[in-house]
Amino acid sequence: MSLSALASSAQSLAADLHYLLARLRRLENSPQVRANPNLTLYLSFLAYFYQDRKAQTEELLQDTKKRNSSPLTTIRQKIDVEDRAIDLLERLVEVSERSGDVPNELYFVLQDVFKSFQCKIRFVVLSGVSLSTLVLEDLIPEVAIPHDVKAQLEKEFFAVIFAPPRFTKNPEYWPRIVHEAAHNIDRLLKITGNTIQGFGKGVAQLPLELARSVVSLCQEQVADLISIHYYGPAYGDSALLVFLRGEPVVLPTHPIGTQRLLTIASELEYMGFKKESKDFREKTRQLGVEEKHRDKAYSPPGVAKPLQNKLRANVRSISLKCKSILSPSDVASGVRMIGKFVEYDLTNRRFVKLTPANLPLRILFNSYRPRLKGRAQTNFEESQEIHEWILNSIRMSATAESPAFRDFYVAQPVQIR
Amino acid sequence: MNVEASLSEEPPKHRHNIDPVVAQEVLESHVSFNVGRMLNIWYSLVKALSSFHRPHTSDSEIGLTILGKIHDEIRGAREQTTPNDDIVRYVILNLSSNNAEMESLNRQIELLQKVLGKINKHESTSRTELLEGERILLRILDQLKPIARRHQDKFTALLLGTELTRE
Repeated sequence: MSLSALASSAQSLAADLHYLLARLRRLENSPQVRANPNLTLYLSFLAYFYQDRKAQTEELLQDTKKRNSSPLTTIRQKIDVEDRAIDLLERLVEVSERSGDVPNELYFVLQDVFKSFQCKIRFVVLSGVSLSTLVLEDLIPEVAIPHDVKAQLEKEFFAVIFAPPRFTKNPEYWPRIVHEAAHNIDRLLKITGNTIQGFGKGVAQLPLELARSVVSLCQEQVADLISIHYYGPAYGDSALLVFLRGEPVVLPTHPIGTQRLLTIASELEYMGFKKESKDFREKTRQLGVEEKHRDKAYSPPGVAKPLQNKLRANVRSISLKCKSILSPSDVASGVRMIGKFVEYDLTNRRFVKLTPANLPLRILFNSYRPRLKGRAQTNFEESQEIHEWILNSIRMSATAESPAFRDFYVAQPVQIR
Repeated sequence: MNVEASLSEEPPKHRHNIDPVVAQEVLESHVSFNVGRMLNIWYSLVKALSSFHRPHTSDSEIGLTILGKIHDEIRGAREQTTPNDDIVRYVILNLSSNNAEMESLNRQIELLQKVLGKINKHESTSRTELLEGERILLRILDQLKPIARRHQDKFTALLLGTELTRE
């Protein structure tokens, strides 16, 4: 290891950062970012990360020039970690560039869920490989975030939701994306955390990996329950669609096989959606022997019944308190109302009327299907028309709600220099 | 083979089977998904190392913060309490495979806290203490690096859809 080798390595880190700055600037000026305060805020966090890296890289360059300030071994350690930090930053910029076409309407859908559970959470939706969510501090190293911003984040956290483009582009998957928002509601309201505390002795005795499994499976159950309470049958339909695309098997932190679908069916029954629950069970049954074999082969893990029951009771109590449980009468009135906006001519097989409707978003998602009773959406064009109608209706509702976006900023966005 | 994991308010009344292989995979994925927290530990320890030669910075404070967390989690691991920071606990369990190694790691962390504490307060430190502190930090960093890299690679592959291009 020589000083000149380290110096050229530090130089190349500085060059990588220079190119990243250009990409960050381009992103900052894109129309999608300008239209979405959440994205502006997210980019300001990337800018904090960038500026921290810039300062560290400059320090590294100085160190390599002044041999006496740090020994080569220390400089080498700094270069290694800096290289990795810049690599992460570069990939985050890359994924942000890919996420420009996530529709703002999806933001309104998720914002509506947070609002219903009285959770002040800022968030961004990024194009990822799998459906997943984490908070900003889990993504960007804490040391890169200034103290005052960190203090703000502790009061009101910033969630990052990853979703594959095929899901963000098609609104029929959106109720399933609500599940990711629900993880953040759980985190903020500490539903899983507080419930598990009551079982603390048992969990503490477990090795770390088993304890993590228990926590993870509890978090999944809570997110499913919150989502089904708020989005009702539409969540079930969407979850089934995602299930059929094989999504849940990707991550071992999730219930495997049809287990999750059966939880959804059982909670629908509790909510009074008896027919929908029965239909959903039937659909799950129809998935056939193959899925059951898969359940068996994977030996799906679960958590003990008393803990499951306590979780269910706690989520129900919170959903009731927030008046967030969708009822069959809500959907029935939605179906009646939607008649004024949506009409399908069965003889000519076309929509006669498809007028955007200013309805609560979850009613919108739950009403159009029962209204059409399977008459439409037999072909791709009709699905496209319905999707457009959903988007236009969300736009209409969101326009009335737009002042809520004023409160998004946690701090003044950083100027990228 | 399944592990009988007790899980109840008054253990071990209720029992449940969790496959240890699946459980290990769950933990590994959880750590990968917290790439920022893993990088934060690595970064803070490098800052601690850096502060040995650049005492007039906030690096020693950052180093002391992470060493404090590691020290607390070692105690938690020995007393079998629920982790305060599960990523730090994971790192500790990866740095020490048995009780004797954990005990030794604990002593090393305490020594580092003492030396960094002095640096932070601008108190004089002996050359022997500094050299020993540096040696410990370099050893920990060499152990930590491949773990952190593995999880960062997994994170990018699982979530960001970028092919693994690194060694």
